[in-house]
Amino acid sequence: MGWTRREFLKKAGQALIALGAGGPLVLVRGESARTSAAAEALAGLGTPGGASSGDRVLVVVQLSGGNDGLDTVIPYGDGRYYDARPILALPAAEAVRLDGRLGLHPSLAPLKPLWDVGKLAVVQGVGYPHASRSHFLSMDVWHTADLSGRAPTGWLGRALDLLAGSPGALDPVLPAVAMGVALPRALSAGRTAAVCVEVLPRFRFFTPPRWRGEADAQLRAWEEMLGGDGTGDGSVPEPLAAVRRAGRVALAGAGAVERAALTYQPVVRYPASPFAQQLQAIARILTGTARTRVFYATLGSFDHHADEKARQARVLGTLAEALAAFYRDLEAHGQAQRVALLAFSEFGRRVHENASGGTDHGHAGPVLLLGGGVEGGFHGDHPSLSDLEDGDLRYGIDFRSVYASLLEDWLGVPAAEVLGGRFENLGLVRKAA
Amino acid sequence: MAAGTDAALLRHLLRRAGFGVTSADLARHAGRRPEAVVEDLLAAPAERPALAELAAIRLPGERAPLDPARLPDIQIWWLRRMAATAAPLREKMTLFWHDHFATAFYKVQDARLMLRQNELLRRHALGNFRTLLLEVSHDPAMLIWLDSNANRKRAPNENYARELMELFTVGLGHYTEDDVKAAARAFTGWHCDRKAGRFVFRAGEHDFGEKVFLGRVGRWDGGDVVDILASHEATARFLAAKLWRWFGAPEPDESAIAAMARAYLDSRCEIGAMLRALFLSPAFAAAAGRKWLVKSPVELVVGMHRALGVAPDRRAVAALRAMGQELFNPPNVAGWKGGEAWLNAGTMLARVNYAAELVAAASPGPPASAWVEEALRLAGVDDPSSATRTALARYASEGDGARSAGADREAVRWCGLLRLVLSAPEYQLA
Repeated sequence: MGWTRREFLKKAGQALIALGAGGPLVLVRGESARTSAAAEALAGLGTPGGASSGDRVLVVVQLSGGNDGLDTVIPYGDGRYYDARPILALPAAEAVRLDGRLGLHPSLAPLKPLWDVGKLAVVQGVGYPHASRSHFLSMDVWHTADLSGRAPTGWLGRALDLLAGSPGALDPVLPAVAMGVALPRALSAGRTAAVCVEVLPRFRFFTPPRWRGEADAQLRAWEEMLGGDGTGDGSVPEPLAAVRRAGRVALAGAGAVERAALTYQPVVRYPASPFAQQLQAIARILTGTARTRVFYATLGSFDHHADEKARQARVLGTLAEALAAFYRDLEAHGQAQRVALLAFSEFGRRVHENASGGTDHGHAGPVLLLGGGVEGGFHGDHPSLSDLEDGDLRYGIDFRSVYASLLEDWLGVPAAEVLGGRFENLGLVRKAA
Repeated sequence: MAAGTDAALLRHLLRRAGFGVTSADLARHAGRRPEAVVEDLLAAPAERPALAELAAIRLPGERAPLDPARLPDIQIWWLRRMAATAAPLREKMTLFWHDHFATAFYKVQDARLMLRQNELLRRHALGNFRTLLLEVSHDPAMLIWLDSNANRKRAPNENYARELMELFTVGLGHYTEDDVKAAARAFTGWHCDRKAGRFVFRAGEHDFGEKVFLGRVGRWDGGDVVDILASHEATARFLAAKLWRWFGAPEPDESAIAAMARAYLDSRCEIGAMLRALFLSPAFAAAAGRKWLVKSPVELVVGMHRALGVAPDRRAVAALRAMGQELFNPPNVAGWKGGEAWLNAGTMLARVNYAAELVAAASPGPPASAWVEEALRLAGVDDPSSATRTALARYASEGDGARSAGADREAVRWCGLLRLVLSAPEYQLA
């Protein structure tokens, strides 16, 4: 391209204003974006250290399968770690030292520079009381922030519903984007429809080239079929209404995503992994939107019942390389200050390794946070390796406290309302201005 | 029962028990009683073994026949089997068991073993659940999937025991952690010889000791655990509820589920008895004509191909992935969530976009005046909403303007109409 970074950012900013990406967009052919609202909304967008909570974005990364905390943040200074894991324990010299006792798994080395500048936080001993060892139940608990795992909505969905009640706080067409083919339960909401995207280029209503003349007519016909509610059909049965809703969200979302992705210029090289591609798609969309507040990506599997050494090294490498590229990309596009990324798993694993060079389902584990507004460093204490609960690490921090910090300080919604109770705000991110 | 409701019930039964219903299906069964049709569906005729069929299929443009060692090849094989089968209920139940005993290629990494499991599921799909469960417990793909080789006397691995109870039989709330530990001990030594691709019992790794399992004391082994679980009341209800959600309605119906569970237990775990009770239940008949079930991607795509009389090719497999369902590769051991979870922005676009790809090759249609009716009939949409009807009629008759002109015009417009019918909200439901 030949642009300097400064020129590029200036042009990107102008393009954003031209597209009206800052204000709510109405998807009706011929109607232009509300440019005055857009200009006003863009005032705080992307300026270093100045992003107001109206712009802040939360990216949630789910590490599926139960990530082994002891094989992520290594207690290299504790003899009991070596006693419990004759095969799996990493030699002290291999740990990427964070302090005198703890270090990162060597595959996480790409994240060390972020730690050094205070943009990486490690929250230790995170869990919840009477934790389940079932993948599904425990994941449901983390998604719903409900210890029975049965709440009909997710914590992110409830947060989005609250934001939707505040004018200008949430893009009505693209409030949240989940990468993949299934909507995470965390995003299921009462009134807000998150959009699921598998692969960006295919996310649109497609008509084969040889039908070129038919494309508009087909799209119009489909839109008409989707808008059936209340056109003389009487009461519409729920599944039919749900299908139509999904179609309408799809069309509106596809339009919004297409416009948003236009302003993004690839400047950073991402690894080839599907996970890194998810993060790049997220970077692409968030760069072009101001009110899409939550993104979701998934990486797995971390469920290493056997052969953990090699598998964990691989999957953590995939994680770290993708996160590092993502952060560099955010910085290059002036977005780093408005994005906080949370990486969590449904449980940690047992302290003692099993007989297959792996570990079984456990309880407490660490949670990672990275971003320009994150308070880097350790939060909470490393769980004791001697005072165990039935062979598992005891949790010291309820995961809902992690959520509370992000809800209050980052997204600016009342945490107690989302979580159904008061949880300690751990000061994990810088409060909104 | 009035003739009208008979026909409606028949359509409902054939649609739910298979992958959509064609006029040929309706003609074949016209005037028959539901009981007779259900017996026919359950008495599914034998079909060719998978390996023989794979060897006999060479896709257009490809140099070699399908290879059982390749995941994409077994995926397209199964899809084509579902689209052409003379035993739709058995194929649909094979799909049900694939979801129930969800085992994924991404960990097993062996397409031949995945195919072997598929044939196992098909063999017992309409048979005895205890037998099916015992076979599954010996199945190499399952043994690899749930780390059975790690389950040893000195260090039992609970993975299989836990999922066996939580997901395959009694369900959460009907067992304790101690039961999981006991079951794990019972299955110690039930291993897979990966090189031979075969079950092997390693006596040296088996815990022959006494266990307390679900309140019963004995020197249980895996077979005993299977017996106890298969004939457990909670298993009867668990399976009945799941089958009802799959074939009946998203909301549970206590009378149907109770009847199904009773039939299962009375027949000593016969799946056919449970299905008979389901299809002949008043609740099932009451649901006739009400499109309550969201079609899974496989049902949708297979239905499209059956309606158009076109065999699926590899594009169908790719489309299924975008719609959220990859054969032989469920997301995890809990299978696919189903229902409205199939419907999100990305998957909706994948559905309507595949319809466009598929009909591109459709043969010429009827006279223009009959287009909308013919398209609806082909797709089996017998009760379109006024919004859908109006949209289709408008599309079919609109003046040209910027639209395609010339000799091509009719063909393109007919294809476009078919595409729209297959994209209609009604078509996404069964």
